[in-house]
Amino acid sequence: MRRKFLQKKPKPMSLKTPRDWDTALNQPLSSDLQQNMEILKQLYANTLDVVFRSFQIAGSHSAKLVYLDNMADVARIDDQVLKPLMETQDITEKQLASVIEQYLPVASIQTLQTFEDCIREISSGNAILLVDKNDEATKIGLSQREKRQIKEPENEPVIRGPKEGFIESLPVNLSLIRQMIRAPQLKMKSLTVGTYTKTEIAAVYMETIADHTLVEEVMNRLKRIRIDGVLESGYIEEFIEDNPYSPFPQTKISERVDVAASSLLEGRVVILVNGSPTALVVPASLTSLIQAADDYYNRFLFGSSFRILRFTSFFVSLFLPGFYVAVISFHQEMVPTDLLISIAASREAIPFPTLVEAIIMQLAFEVLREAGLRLPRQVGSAVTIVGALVIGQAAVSAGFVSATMVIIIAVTGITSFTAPHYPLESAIRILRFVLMFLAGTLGLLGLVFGMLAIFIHLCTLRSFGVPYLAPMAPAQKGEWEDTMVRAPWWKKTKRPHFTGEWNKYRVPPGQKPGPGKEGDDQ
Amino acid sequence: MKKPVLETGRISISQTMLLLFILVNATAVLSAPSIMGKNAGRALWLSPMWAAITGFAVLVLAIGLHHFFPKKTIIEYGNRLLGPFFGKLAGAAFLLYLLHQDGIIMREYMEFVVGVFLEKTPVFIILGGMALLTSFAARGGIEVLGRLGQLLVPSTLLIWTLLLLLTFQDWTMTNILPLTVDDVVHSIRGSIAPQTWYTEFFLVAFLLPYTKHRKGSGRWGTVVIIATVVTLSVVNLICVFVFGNLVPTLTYPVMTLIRYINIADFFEHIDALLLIIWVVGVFLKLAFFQYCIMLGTAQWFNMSDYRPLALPIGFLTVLLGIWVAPNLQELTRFISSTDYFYMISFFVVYPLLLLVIAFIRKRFNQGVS
Repeated sequence: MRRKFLQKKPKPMSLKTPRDWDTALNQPLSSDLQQNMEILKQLYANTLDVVFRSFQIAGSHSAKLVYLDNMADVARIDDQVLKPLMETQDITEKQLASVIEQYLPVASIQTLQTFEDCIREISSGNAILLVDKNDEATKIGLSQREKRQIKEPENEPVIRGPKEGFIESLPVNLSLIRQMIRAPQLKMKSLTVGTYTKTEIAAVYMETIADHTLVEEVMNRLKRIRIDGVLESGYIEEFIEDNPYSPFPQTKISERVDVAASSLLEGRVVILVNGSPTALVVPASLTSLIQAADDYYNRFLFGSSFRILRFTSFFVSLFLPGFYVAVISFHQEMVPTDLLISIAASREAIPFPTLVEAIIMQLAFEVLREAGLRLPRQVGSAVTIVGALVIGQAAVSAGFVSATMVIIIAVTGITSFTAPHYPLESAIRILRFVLMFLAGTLGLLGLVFGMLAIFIHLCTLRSFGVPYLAPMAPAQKGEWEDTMVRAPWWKKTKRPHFTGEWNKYRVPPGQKPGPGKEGDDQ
Repeated sequence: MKKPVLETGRISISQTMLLLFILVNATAVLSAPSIMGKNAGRALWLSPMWAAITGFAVLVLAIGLHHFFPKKTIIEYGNRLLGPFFGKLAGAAFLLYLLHQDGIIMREYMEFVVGVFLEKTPVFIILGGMALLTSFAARGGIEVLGRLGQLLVPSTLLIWTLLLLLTFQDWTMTNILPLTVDDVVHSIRGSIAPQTWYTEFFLVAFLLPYTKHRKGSGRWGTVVIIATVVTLSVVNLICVFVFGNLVPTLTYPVMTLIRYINIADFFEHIDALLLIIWVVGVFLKLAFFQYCIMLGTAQWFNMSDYRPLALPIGFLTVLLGIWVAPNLQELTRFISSTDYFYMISFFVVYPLLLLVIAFIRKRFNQGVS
């Protein structure tokens, strides 16, 4: 008697600490529908959007449907779950178990044992069917998520090439890759990270191309992550880097599906995070960050020239302000006399030393950029105009900065915009100031010091065990086809050495096209 | 107890070759023509070729010892061959000698920078900045050094070539004439200085245990020596083309040479560019030296890691850089006179002694390692 009383009305759970939640979630479902509902209702107390729908299967067996409003497809629940189950006739207790197989026209069905499973499925938008006298729940995969349209990523525009970009939904992103690479060798390993966000993360790779130890290493690093929530792939990036204090990005980020697909074909691993349109590509190397998708779609001559242009711009944007400061402050003799006279004339009224002038201007430029980024679009153009007028015109005529300095800063800015990878460009923005300071204090020697420090750092750096400067240093034979230049496709026969060790050839040799051998009189 | 592995990195033979190349050429190129010219006169461009003989001898020694002890450096096999007491003693002397040489290179670098570019900058900044960089690089281990060599040597070489070629309008080819037997004899005397520099090739003994290469093939060594000879000879030759008999009177003939460049009245006074590429080369050399010292010291003390030695040894090189000589004149005199015997005794005589002992012990004991 007493025992039954206890069973019927369980003590109300306390759900205050994370530990209470763990114990509550870990208990298995009981066969008593009433009791299951009690617990679920406590778990979902104060939750506006949860729906508990009681109904009777075939008019005789009580059942409950639990789902989150707007996350589950209500119309399909009516049509494909409630209607067939309620309209069936004459079901005995025994048949109840198979009723789901027979009467539910839904693709994704799964049985669940614990509350944790139930909660997980409800949270991801699926409906849960609980039937009386049954200690298993059934997940009915009818989630519908609000998602953005697939658009061209605004941050990585190309002239020629596919215009599809990743969106915030992981399943859609996976299907986008799948549409490009239709082989079953395309594999995904997934795991959930985030105590509260339960974010799904997928590591995508090509079974016959990627190095298995690399995939393992990626998974190990992902599994180590303990965090309450993952809102963007940036969270993940910081957890899996080789050198967290380096200014240089050690993963390549991209919103482009074709970039992800091409990385997969090179043997790299692509990490996709649910809720983030940005894919992480590892391992990354400096050269891979300067490559743009266009390089591969335009004819090789132009792809290569633009890439060389980008490499040059990379160095110019890094060293130009420092070089100017060093030359003007320490090595004036290097400037041709005529030019020196005009520079001197424009600097005559300037009250600051060149270093201060350069730092002020560069800071102003950075502030303008940041302001243009943060402001609402409509006001953004105003900032540009004000900035251009104040800095370009007024500051020069008022004698605060010299016209040459404006030119230097402008050239630096424009060259830095050619970098196709934003985080790399951010690294340069920071390092530029360091180099300017060194150049302003020690002249060209300081600039060399800074340059050497950067090079030493780059030589030390690795991304997932792969040297960051590969294939330049350490040099790898036969991989220069895709470093500074992009060799034509029929000549670019090999995959990068570090990732695709055992499936080396991507293009069988001997496909150089040419006119037929026959001649005119055929 | 298993001995700790100090260096786990491996470099390729091309990286070793580039490091060896820059090791000798980095410092030699700048003051070599005037030092050689003091004895060789007009025929100084022949001197590097005679010196190549020493280069080959040193490489043969290094490779020979490497064959006896394929996985050990000179500090380790010195111990094994000379016994614990004399081995340690000789090892300590060798390390101190390396440190001294490192200090000399530091001083050469400082003298050049202070003398030509930054007259008023405190020398501690110039030396200290460089010591920080070399410590940073040497701390990264042999792989980082190899990569730095691969990255920096070809590009500096390219700029060197360009700069030297740009002086072509001042070339007077007939300056090398007449070439008499006397000149040839003088040029052999002039080869004393390059011989000293070529002995530095012996430092390859610190790289060979960690280099991936085919045993028994010495072709890479020949290539490095020939490249060095060509580089130095060409530099000397161009100096003679431009300055004729004046070469020995200039402190840094190459520097003066670069100052002559004037293309279209726009591209002129670019000697600061020389500073950039020269400092890059010297940095590689210093980092290489410091790495050898760190590795050797760690092996000498049976330490488990050489990385913590980076900054202390970097600091010592700064001090030594100031201490080695009172002024540039003394330094040059030392380099062109005493240093010859100093370097020969440590880079030639000592390894030769070790090789002979190894040979004898192999003969009588059947097995040395």
